Amino acid sequence: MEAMKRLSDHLATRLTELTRIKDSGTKLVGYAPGGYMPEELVYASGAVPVGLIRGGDPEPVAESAAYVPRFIDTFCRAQIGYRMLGEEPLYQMIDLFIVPVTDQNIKTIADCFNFFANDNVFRFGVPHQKDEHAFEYYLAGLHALKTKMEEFTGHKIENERLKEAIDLCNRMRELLKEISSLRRSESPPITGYEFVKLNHASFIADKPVFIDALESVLRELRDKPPSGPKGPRILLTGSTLAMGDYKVLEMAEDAGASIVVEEFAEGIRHYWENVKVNGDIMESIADRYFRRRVPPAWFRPSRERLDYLIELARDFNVDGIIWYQLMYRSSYDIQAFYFEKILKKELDIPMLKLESDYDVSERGPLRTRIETFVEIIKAGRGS
Amino acid sequence: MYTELLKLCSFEADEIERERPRIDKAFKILGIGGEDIKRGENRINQYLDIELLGVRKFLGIWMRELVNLVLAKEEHDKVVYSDFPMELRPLMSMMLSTDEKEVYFAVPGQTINLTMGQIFDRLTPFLEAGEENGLPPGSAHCGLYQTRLGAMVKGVIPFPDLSVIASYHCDQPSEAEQLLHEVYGVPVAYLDSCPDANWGDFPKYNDYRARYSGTQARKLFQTFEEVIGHQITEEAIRITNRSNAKYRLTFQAMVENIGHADPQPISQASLAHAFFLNSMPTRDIEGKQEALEILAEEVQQRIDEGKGVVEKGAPGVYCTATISVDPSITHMIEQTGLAIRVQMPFWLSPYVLTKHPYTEWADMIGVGPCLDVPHSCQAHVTINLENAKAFNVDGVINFYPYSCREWAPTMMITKRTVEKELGIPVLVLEGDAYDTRNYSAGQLRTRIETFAELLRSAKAAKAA
Repeated sequence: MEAMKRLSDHLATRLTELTRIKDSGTKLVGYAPGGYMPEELVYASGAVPVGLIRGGDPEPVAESAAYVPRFIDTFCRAQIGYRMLGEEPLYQMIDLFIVPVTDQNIKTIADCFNFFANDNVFRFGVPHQKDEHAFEYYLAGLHALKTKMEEFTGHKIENERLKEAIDLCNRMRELLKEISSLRRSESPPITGYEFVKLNHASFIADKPVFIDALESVLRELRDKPPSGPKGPRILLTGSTLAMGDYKVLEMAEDAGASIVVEEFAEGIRHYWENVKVNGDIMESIADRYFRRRVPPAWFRPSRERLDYLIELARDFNVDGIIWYQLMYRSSYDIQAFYFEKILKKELDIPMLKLESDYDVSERGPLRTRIETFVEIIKAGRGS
Repeated sequence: MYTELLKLCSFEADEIERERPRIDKAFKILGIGGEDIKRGENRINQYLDIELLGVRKFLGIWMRELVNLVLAKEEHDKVVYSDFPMELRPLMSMMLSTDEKEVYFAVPGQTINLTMGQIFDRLTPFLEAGEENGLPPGSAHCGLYQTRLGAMVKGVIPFPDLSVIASYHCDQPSEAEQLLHEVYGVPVAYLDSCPDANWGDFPKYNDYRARYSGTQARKLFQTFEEVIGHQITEEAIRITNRSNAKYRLTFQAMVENIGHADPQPISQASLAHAFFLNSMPTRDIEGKQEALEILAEEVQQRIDEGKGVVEKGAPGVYCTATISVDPSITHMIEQTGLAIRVQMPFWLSPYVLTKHPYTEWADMIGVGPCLDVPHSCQAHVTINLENAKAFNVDGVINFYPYSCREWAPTMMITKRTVEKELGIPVLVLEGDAYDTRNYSAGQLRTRIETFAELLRSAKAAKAA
């Protein structure tokens, strides 16, 4: 697709552009993924947000062993490794690192960036429940973040600028949602791999350029003729799908499956909900990012997420679920155990649980398991 | 069969006779046979200061709780569980608001660890059952939660009517309880907080964090009322506050005595049963206080007499974690000639004792995580440093339970901080506080012996 190529060219020069932006005095603000970080606040302060979501490489994971024990989640160890290796420019060039503290693994990233890299880190908390007190807590954290951004950039965040930033981010999310929704069709015009790469680009790309690219992509996809029946339809879910960690997507699609929808706590931008400005703007932002965000596995109770997955699977008419988690993310590991039972009861479709430590030696076994899973689904479909 | 063992645990003959039917029944359910009894007697004699009445009394408290736990559903209408590291105050205030016959409170993981683990060395069946039922091996799941799940699934202990758990230390307790809820229908109430303090904040904390946890404590009490049918009473709060403070401060004074004494008067392994009563809600408040006062006196007597379990003048170390299932590791450290001055979290740092403005019970509970290790990684490291300084140690054994996502990530930061601030060596040692299968005293001995040699040389050089 021509729009994807344009976007790819933009991303290829994005680091250079960010360097120029930084040199001109604009602050670069990195953030840990997880879906609780409102980029709107960063934009409204005049800074540029970038999500730190690289993953999939074994070397940073190995490097992290000098700083943390290996029994921390793989993605979190990779972030520490990328920072300390000094080979990922984006990780070195941010002026401030914002960490919405969701669980101990993410908190460890913040601790290591603080202590070993002496970085400027700002944290705010994400409670593990969704009651009104938890909402107030999260909102208090957003106010603290707003104050921090104002002090850091020297620019007051006015409501008008915040509304503009909300409109920008809402437009981006709408377009991602529309593109993703095309995969409901029997012949999805875009593969899961392509969509995930598009989604990942949203963390780094210039927003107006990205929105322009999305609009073009959407037009092209709508004009694209249906290309025949696709293979087994898969919902891909798990803890983290990082930029660069595409092996499961590639293997599943090579095996003839179609990843029609994803749900991840980290690495995938959540696009199903927009900020609806209704009264107090900060409360509206908190409503979208906390109340209406599908909770990850470390929320209690966990039923909301599991019910959401069941609904998503129905909505996208999936034939099976691949649960892809990274090593030592205990919430996901435990939840996978009882989710499979719930899935069997509600939808009677198979689930494949995969684990990764970003180790190259995993690829062979992963491929075999994915291929077998796809064959099982095909046999079940009679295809 | 078990008379001698129970006498070692301070049971009197008439109690053994009176309780025999219950003990027989509980031991049968637990699968404790003649070999286990013998092994228990040997382990108690080998690793604990069993000649001290205080130590025997604490063993007795835990053994009674083990029997009570196994028979809980038969003997009570309702059962409420919690477990380490949930703090004691909310549990105790809930427990004391109920009738003893009606509601039984327990910390099953810890109870099984300190009896089936420490005494009988028979945790494996529970761990394996936990692994097969949702907490698989190879994923660094917490052994404590594997044990308690396994014990329930095996039918050795009942499923509770309510589980109460802290969800802010790490994700393991709350997710394991969520499994209990989804698969076995157990209602669960969580005490939540948010470890989001920025680096450099400690010991300051946000008022809204303390108040948020306070609201979660209120929610917890509300769930307790709905499920168990009782409200927390002012009297229960008063007794909890008074007895908890008294016990904790008596323990603190004893730990400080031990830590400053030379030679080390008692094995640190002998303190585990006393320490973990800080998180077990027992109705035998007077019995537990009495046992502690006896132990504190006996320890003082040893100090006065110059008696020790490690040679006088031995290098002193601070251990950054306590092993609750295997006394042989702590014993091995002391056998290499290192005096363990203190273990985390036996000693309350000055930060925990800081005054705060909260007067409502729920808010007083809510501020708890803000004053101690759960505040942040920086708090944990700072408290480690304070422990090392307070007891003027020659080195630190930075033991970290590998599956503990709250403890383990701080280990290199602690090492670098202590080495830089105090100029003393730090040995990083990976282990497991709750699972005896993966780490053993034999496996760790070489590293400890080398470290001990290093400290002895350094101490000698300093003296010269």
